[in-house]
Amino acid sequence: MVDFRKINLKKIGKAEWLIDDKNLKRKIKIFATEELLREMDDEVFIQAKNVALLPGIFGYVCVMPDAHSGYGAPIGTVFAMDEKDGFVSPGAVGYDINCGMRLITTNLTIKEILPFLEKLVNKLFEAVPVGVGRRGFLKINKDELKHLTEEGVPYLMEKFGLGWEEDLKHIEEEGRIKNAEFSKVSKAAVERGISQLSTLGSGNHYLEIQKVERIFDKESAKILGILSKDQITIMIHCGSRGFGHQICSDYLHLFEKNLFHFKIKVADRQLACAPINSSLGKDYLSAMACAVNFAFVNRQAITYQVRKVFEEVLGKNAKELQMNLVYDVAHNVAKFEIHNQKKLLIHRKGATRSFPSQPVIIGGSMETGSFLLLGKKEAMEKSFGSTAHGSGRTMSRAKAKKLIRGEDLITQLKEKGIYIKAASFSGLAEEAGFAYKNIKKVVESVELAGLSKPIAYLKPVGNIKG
Amino acid sequence: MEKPTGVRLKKWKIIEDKNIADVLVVVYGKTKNALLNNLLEVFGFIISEIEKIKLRKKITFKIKGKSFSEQVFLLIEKLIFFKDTKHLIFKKGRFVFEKKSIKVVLFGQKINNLPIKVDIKALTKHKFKLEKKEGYYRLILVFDL
Repeated sequence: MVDFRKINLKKIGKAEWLIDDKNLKRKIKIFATEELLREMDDEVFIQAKNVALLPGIFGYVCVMPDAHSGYGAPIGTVFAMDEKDGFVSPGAVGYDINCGMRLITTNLTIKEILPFLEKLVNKLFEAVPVGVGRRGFLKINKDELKHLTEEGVPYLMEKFGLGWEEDLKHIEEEGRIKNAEFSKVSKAAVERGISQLSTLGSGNHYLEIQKVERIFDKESAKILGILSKDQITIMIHCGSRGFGHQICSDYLHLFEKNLFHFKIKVADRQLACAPINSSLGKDYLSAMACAVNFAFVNRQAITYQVRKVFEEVLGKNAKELQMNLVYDVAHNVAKFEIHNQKKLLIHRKGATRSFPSQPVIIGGSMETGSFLLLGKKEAMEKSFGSTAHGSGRTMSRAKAKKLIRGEDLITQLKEKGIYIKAASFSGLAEEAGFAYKNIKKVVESVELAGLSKPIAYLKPVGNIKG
Repeated sequence: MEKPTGVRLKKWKIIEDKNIADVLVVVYGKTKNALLNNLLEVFGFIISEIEKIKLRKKITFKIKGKSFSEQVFLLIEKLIFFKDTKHLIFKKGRFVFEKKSIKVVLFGQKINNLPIKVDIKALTKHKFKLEKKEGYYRLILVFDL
């Protein structure tokens, strides 16, 4: 037992801790090495306890090694609700519904790409709208938005021809989550979403050209298309933009207003919830599904632009360049899944699905790099098939900006061989590598905890940011 | 939480090292009108360089809500909505307070021509609190960035 910030933590595994507090409805499991546990800010523990007070939680509340304070639930939280008598909480899914990661391979090496790197990054910056107030390159009307958000990536391919048929097999839910109902989405969400589809956004979202720095498991890596050190890959991190944010905001108001009706008390208004089987719960899940599909479509549309830019700059066809999709995985979502023969609604906020042999992408900062992993069977028992999603912040945005200017960061990174193009210098400084946990330690934690297994380590060479 | 001191009231304060991925803000105002104008200022400061925002565009609307707290919440959501849909950011406002509504006139400009620091994507309910203190209002909020 470790008395840590007045919380009794019991070590139950190499990188597993248990909070068993009689005042909580459910126990909390934290997956982290002691070092990362100590790096977590105090709010993580307060917010995780607030989650553990929610009604209807099945099993444990899980906290991932990259956890940091959010609002309502910490970023890096997983919990399950029984399908029949459980609850759904929009705040515990997050605003950026289906914010997620996508990884694309190429058959290029760093040596081959270096002469074109700046041109590639500059062209990507032009082709993929980033930052605030930019409209998407895909011009759609309301009816098309309806189809795209209800039918997802298959519709985008069929109607707009943006993608390869084989892409679908490499997207969680094959790029379309079921039960999406556009009629449950507000007019405001439609207005925010219609011009933002096919944009990267801002904050910690990025589009990155990477090189394979290290392969941990050659056999698995080969199956995923990662063949050798110095191979070039492309990573996309973004979500459902204003569309998802508005859906979350709209339903949070409704859920909060109905707390009294459902006789629910929550420790934080952001965690307002409703029974899954209530009309309100069902409506939220239908609207949320639209945002999930929006985000899949968004990353697919961006992929189309990425392939096009590589074709233009390198003078070769994207198929010839083997720009294949490794995987696209969500890290802010609530999904029905079967665990131990029980149908549960799994809430993942800042956490990635990690089913056995499923590719997992843990994205890091633009300085330190990212990891490709595979899900493990143990994750099914320990964390409802979930793992970490990123590095996790350790420093506030304001503090990061005080320590470095965006312009200086660009110069420093260029000296390290990383070419950056950003819409905002200030926003860039906030995303400096020192503001995040050491991603290698996050990956070490999920490996030690048995949640996922590292396959390859990918280092940035070019990055565009909003 | 720092309290305003002396005769001169602080307009707003960004609290560092709390909600590290997002931003925790405290806004003050001696009157409702001052509070909302200070709110516009900090909103503009977070996204852009407030001194560069010109009063070129005017927009008028009405906010309905049971309490002043609810009205303020809805007003902030409107600011986010206008930023995303009309690409507008505001610096000043005129407010007429009615029993269950506020008549709002905002002055600002298109965001596209301004230097951008970071985007405000949502107003969270986490820690949201509007208090009437002795002689001033205090608003605590967390923006999702």
